[in-house]
Amino acid sequence: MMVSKENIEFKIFEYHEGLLNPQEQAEVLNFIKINPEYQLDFDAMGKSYLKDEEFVYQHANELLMPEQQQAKSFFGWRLGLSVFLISLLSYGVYNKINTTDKVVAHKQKFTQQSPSMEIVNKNNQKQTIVNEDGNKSLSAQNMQTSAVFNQNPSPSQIALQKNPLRNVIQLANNSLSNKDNHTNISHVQSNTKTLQLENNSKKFSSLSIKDKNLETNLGLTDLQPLRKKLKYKEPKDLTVKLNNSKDQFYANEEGTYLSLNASFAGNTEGLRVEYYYRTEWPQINNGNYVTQFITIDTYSKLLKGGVGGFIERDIIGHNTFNTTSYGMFYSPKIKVSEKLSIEPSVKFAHTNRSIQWKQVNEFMLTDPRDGFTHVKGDQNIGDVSSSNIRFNTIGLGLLINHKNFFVGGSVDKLNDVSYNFNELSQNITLPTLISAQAGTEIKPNKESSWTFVPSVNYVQFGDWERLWLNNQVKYKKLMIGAGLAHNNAYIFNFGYVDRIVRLVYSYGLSQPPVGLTSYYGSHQISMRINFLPVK
Amino acid sequence: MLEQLKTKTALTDKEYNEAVKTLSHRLYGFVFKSLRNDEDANDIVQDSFLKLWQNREKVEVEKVKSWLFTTAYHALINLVKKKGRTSSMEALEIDRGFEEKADFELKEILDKAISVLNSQQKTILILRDREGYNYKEIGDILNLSESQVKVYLFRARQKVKEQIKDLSILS
Repeated sequence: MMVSKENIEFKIFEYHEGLLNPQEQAEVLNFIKINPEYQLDFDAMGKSYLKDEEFVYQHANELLMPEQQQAKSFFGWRLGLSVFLISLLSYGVYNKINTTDKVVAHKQKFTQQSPSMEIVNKNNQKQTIVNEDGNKSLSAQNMQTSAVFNQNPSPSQIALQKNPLRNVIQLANNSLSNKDNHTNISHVQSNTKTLQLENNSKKFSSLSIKDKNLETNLGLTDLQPLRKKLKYKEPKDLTVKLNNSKDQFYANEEGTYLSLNASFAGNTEGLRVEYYYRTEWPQINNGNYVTQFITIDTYSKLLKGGVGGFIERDIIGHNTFNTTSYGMFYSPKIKVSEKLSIEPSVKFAHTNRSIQWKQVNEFMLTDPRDGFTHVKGDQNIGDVSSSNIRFNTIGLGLLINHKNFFVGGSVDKLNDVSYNFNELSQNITLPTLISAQAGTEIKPNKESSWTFVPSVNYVQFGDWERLWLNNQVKYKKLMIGAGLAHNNAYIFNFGYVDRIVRLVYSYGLSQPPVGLTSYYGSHQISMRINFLPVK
Repeated sequence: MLEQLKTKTALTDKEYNEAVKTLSHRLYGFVFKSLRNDEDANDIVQDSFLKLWQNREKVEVEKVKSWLFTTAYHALINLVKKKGRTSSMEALEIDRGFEEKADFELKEILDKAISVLNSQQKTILILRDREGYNYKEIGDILNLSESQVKVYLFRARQKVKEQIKDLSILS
């Protein structure tokens, strides 16, 4: 655009703001040269820029906060420890899975201090020997053992062979009769399948175990001691069993499996009643949360699925925010095969929430646990003392139940709930609640009294999210467990579990999201009762 | 997977203290130049940092400065509205400005000149000249579009320019 008297003032402004290219700048300067009455405007505009000024805020030091490294590092090493323990557990499970069919041969020199060598078979059906030094496998079927004796004038080899009936290693029959070398081989204890080699004549100089195919020698040579033992044990059969009992325990701050995902409905025998009580951060005078809910569900043959309902009561900050929700859900069970079922669900809920404005401060306006934004920004609420809000929500869920594991997810509050305060003239929209969960149950073997129940659980609500890694260990009817969240939250639980009753106490540690740096504890009680059908 | 989900939004104690050390003086200057009242400026700066501390889980490190200026600006506007001081203050400043002699230093002239601006124009001018924000950043703080910022800035500079011309500091 050409420079003219109509736009010269704006062009002068753009000139000093640096918004013009060199050609446009030249046009402005040329115009002023031709019309010198604008020179004063040009110069005055140039001087209208504020100069940088040094200000000193006298109270800066009063605003400084003590740098609390302790809390971070305190939980830093706990986080590390948790990861380590989980890794250890994982390794243990992995090791059990992967060593089920293997035998570990511990290479060990026969000395006076360590007069024995053990070959431990962890599975009697399949026998493989791992040479720890060479990382090579030896097949028991091809195993050839031999002992070398110092005999004058030259050493001789006596073959050892595996006795297929007794699962022991012994000298071959033809060499067993050789009494000159004063070597005895015997089953010290038949029940432990221990083989003992004795060399009373001190002529026993080496023992080797060879694989015919690999020609691998464990290298047990230079044997000098008086007594040598070759132990061959048959431990218990170890086979990891995965299972999905469809009644796993999960009750963290976001709720239970059933409260998050209605697809879990109807998956236990009879009528299931679950009660959950949680008081979060009771140490905080004005900000704690008390949540209670009851869920009831059962399987309906008529509806071919799980049906149920729930009532939830949530109190935040000593009645500052007071929420009551109730609703019902239905989850049809679609059987794909004997091992697999797909279970969608739908849930309807009605919520009534009251806000006591006189107890509200601006930092409580966002419910950090569920991401519910009550009011954005500073508001002058005048004489309004309380508000009641009512809204309905709808949710969908999906659960894939396999014989050995489950994977599920849910999307709640799908209907974009919003409400308006006349006094505040502000629309507030609830975010969508998203959850995902997966888990299994692991038994070291079919008969074991121990069960490991690992699970992964994720919840997102608006900007708030939490990913949990949980693991519980059950021994018969006792349960102990722990959970670790990606954003520094922890939960520990223990309790009693059987087919009818499950009673679990949990202690959680987390950081309140606003205003406080320390970790605060939460207490939680979860109880489930299965009312079994009368047969 | 854990790392992917983890986003760094929280300020550490150290980062918060660093913000106090580096930004409190500038924030005070920004508020003081707008209000011309030391006590109110102190209160607003203190409140702004208190809010920063209490919301530090939500504020990203790189946005601390604009967050503070936005918070202080809102507090400043609320205070001005609450006390109804805008008109009276401006009138007072203008009167005082014209009563005094014309042989001011440029800085003093500018101080007097910007006192005739309304709060928004004054804020835009300070954010632009003293804090070096671009139009978009100013728009983010004041909830305005870039073009609105440009127009408001133009009007502000026009007013200041006219004041400078009237006070005849240019020969």
